[in-house]
Amino acid sequence: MAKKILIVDDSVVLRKMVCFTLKEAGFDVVEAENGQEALDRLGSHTVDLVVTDLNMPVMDGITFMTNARKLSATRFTPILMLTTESQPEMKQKGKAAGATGWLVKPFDPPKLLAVIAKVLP
Amino acid sequence: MSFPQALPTASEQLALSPAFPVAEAVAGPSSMLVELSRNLGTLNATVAKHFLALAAVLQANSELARNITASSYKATGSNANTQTSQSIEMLQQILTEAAGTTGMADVSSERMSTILGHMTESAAPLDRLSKARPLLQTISILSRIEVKRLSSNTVDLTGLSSGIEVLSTENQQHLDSVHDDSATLRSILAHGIAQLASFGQQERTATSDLVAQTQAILGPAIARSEALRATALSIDEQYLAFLRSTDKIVMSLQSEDLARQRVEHIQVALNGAAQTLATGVSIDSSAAILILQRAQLVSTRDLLRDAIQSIQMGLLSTEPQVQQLVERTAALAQQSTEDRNGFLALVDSSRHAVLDIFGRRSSSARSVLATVSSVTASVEKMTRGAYALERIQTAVRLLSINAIIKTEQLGTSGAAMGVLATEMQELARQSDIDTAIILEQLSAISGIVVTIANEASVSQGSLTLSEDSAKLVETQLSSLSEDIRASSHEMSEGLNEVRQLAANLCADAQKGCELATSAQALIAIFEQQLLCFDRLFDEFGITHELAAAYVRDHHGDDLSRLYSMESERALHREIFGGAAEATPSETSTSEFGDDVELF
Repeated sequence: MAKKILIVDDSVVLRKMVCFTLKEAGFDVVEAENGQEALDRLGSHTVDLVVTDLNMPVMDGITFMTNARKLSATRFTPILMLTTESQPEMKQKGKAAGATGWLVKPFDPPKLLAVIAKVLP
Repeated sequence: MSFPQALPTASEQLALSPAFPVAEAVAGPSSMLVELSRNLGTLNATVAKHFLALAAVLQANSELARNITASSYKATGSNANTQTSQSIEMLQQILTEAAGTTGMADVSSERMSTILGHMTESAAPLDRLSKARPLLQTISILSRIEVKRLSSNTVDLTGLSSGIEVLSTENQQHLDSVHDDSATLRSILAHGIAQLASFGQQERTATSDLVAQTQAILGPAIARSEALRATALSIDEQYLAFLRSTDKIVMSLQSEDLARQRVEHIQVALNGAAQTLATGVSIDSSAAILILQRAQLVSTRDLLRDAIQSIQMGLLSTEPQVQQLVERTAALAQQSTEDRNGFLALVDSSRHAVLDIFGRRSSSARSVLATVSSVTASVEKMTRGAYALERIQTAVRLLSINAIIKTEQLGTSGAAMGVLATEMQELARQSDIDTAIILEQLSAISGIVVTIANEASVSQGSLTLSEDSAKLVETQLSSLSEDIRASSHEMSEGLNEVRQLAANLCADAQKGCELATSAQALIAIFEQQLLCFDRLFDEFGITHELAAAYVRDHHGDDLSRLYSMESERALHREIFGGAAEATPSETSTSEFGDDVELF
């Protein structure tokens, strides 16, 4: 059975590119436009991994992650930040909020898949 | 140094207010900035629309490429290899088994030669027994004469005489039978040995032919199988090359996200500057910010221009790649068809040859088994005859004892009968020895016959297996032929599919290129916005040199707080020369490079 990945990003094009890359690699993908929508998705989907952007309207990536870590279903689910941000302070915030890893945009498809393969349970 | 996400507020910008020499304020500069910001929002939406369309093309192309790959497998027959592999494996197994059955005839022949040796051993005693036959007849005649001569005597010799006569007759019959059986057995053995020698030779030749014929199929079958595997690999390589091009396009399409964020930051900065102006603060405070936003817009324009060009190039490269894939698939399909036809002819011709060999092997083996069976029957019959002779010898011995007793009773008148009794005793003794030798030899022969019978039973089993193998070979070869014939239609269908899908993919790639060309219009919109900036700068009397001097002399470091993306900070460094410090570069410990960090 294919692993399910939740991709959270306010950019439709970016979401499409991540979805395209993941689907080509055989994953099932669930999309959300922001952190709040992602939390709603987690209520109805069991996912194996989350790839989330940082800067998003309604609810940003850090807040989403903090909330997701409070849910029993996603307490230990790998969460990768995929963002244009690269400051060490931001990375530190992400790590503290429960991020499993940090990837700077633009992502290289084979590299994204390699990282996912590494962190997937 | 920290880089907050949010741009400076109006009051923060006020704190940066420079002693910046600008032209006199013109009417409505604030609304000009708001208008520009709004236009940039529209520009963002337009860029997103174009890039989404390009992403859809990429998705469609990728789907087509995947289908082309599947059809390429079909066209070259690379996907119908499982059944062929199974058939090849089965044939290899049958070949090994066939090679293992050789030499059975040689062993059987050796055993028959041993039996013949035992028969030779029993020939002398059998001859002696034959020679004893006239002696017993003579004794019978003489005993009859003596009985007549002594008829007046009180001793009754009638039973003795008739007993000798009966035994003589029986002895003759059984001796004849054993003799005949011996001759028959010798003849069967001689025939059997010759037959086995011939069968052994035939078996060797047949096995050699079988090996040659089966290998004649297996060799090309394995070669064909390997060629198809190589074809599959070649198709996979083409698909991977396409995926690599796709990866580049995926990366270029992500520029929209980066551009969108930059433009959003520009919008925030413009709106902030507009608010500052609206409060009556001099444009001086926002000059450096505006200079930087223009530079950001130029940079974003360039980023998108490069991305669009890269996407266009990527999509353009699809067509020759696809054409190459089609040509290669067509060539591979052609080669595969030729190989298939040749192989099919070979399988058909070899099938008849292999079945003929199996047929000959079966026929010869059955004949040998019949000979072995007749040896067994003959030995059994001869043994029964020999045992009958043994019983006769016992009876002769008893009669001879009876004759001695009668002789004693007759006294001097029984002297002649005494001589006959002694002869009978001697005859029985010698016959006992000879019969024992014959029985001993027959016993040894029986042992060998049991072994041969067991081997014959095994051979019978092997023969059944061999016939089963023949049926299996027939089934496997038929299956191989049917598979290959069935794949013919599929291959032709596959090639047509590849051509159709490739045409669709090229058309889609062309459409994508047209979309990319139309996306170039975005650059013109950027130019318009840049002109708006220039008009603003003209109106406000802002020059780059002055802004740079301001940043350098007053608040350059603080401006770096505006940036949330490394790309923006880099641009700041480029424009204002080190005013924004670079993020301390971390020594990457990630196996994935600097842009990935796993916690």
